[in-house]
Amino acid sequence: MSSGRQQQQLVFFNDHSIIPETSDEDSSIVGIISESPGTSAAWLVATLIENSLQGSANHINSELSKRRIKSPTLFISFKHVGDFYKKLCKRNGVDLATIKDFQYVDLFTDLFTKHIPSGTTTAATNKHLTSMFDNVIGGIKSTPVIFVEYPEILLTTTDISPNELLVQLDRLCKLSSRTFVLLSTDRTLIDFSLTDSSDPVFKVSDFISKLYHRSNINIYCQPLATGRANDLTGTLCISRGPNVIEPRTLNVASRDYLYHINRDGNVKLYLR
Amino acid sequence: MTLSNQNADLLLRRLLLLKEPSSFYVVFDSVSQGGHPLLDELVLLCGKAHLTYLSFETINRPKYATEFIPCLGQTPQQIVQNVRKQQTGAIKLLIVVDSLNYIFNSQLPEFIKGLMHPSTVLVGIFHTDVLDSLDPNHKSYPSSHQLLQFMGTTLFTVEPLISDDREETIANETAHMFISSAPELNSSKFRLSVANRRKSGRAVSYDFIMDTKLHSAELVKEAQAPVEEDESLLKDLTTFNLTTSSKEKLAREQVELPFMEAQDSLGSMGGAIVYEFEKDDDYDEEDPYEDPF
Repeated sequence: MSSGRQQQQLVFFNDHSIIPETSDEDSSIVGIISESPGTSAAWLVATLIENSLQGSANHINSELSKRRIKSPTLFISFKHVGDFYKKLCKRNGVDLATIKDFQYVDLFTDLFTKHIPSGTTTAATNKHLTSMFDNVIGGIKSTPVIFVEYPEILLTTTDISPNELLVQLDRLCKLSSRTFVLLSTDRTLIDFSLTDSSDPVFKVSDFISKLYHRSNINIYCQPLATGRANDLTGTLCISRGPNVIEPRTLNVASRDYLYHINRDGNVKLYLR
Repeated sequence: MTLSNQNADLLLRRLLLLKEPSSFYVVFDSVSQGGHPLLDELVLLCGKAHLTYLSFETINRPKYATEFIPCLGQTPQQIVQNVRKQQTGAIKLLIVVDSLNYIFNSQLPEFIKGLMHPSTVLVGIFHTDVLDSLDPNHKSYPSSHQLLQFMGTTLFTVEPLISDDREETIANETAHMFISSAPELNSSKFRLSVANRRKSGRAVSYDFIMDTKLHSAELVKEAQAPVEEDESLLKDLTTFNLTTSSKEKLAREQVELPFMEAQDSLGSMGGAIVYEFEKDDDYDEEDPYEDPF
């Protein structure tokens, strides 16, 4: 299927960038990267980390002009341990272990042992979560690019409400000019017909819909609608979010890509 | 309601200039088409007003905001108290709420009432695709959407400008996770429905295609369905001839109907009841019940 198609370079914005350079301190970009179950956007996240730290995107945009400003990067994960992205980034030629500007915060491993001890009451849970985010925020020294992976897990595993979680995410967004939130789009956890606000499905649906209204750019990684193919892995949809971007000259380059990840982990992109 | 194009354009312009006596504007939007481009247009036109921005989801203070109040995590009462300090009455105040979805439906009327003031115009954005914040203690209370439709004096609804043949495809794409790369979504050109209520209770509504890059709004006229003649429905229905020829139609139109004739001769009496004797009438002068006249 991909034979005959011309390979494309990945860009997110009309200035041919993936993560645009910060030019205005009062502007911030919120991006949402969502993935369907069975499809992983980890290759894309590794590329974003590379682009943030080094300005390059070796595997999916060799023509990308290198950024003049290299941003410190903070990765907060509720899903993976640090080694997961270290391995992926090494394939892109980025050794995260040696880069001082990269900080990985694994909040999942100790979530129910250290951060929220078992038997904690609802009120105390919120205090523990606030204190957990306080610690993360306290460790931020300069304006980084921030990635938050799977924060919605807190909605199904604790008593935190969608609005309380959004307050914590807002605190992070205020410290960064570029924030990317990674989400899962499990259809069983999203239903817009519910009315019971204590239902975990309601909480996740409410959180996701409110988060999308804060976004400037949405990136959606999903499997092929037609099923499996040998030479294609999935589709990548880039779309504008409802929030306007400052400066107004910067626009999202909305388009659909088809992508293929081969056995060596190399990614090829084609326009759909 | 049918009014001229000029009236519709003028009304929209006066609304955006805040010159109409309308104190509560609600902008209904969605992830497919956000309300911020319309808000920018309003702010650009109304210019000099003192603008207080109540932020539930905006991270950075907009350049046009005179005051910026982060509201997420605060109670409606706390927000109202903060705003009331600025409502001195001397200056015209424009209050913008970037999302009314964070207020429980049962608290919404009190919140809106608390922000209203004679010198204030309130503009609130409501996302129609976000789950409603229903108060668990007031289960039978109307939804926030219904309440705002009732309370708003001017209702703006923004929708992406999608052609009919692409509507279904894009709706399918956005139904689950809001995402589609369609260029029509969140564009500077969108469909704007305006409903304005006067104090008299009279309401007018128009549809526009708005382009915020060109700062223009073009009125959308509803395409009138072609009037199909009844006779065309009868064609080929049976083997009988149920239609009328043009000659027959002309003859039918020329028939003088009896009530029209009666109006010519008797209508001149100015509404009085006139009884005219006919030759077969038997009139008895001694009969007291025969004729009251």
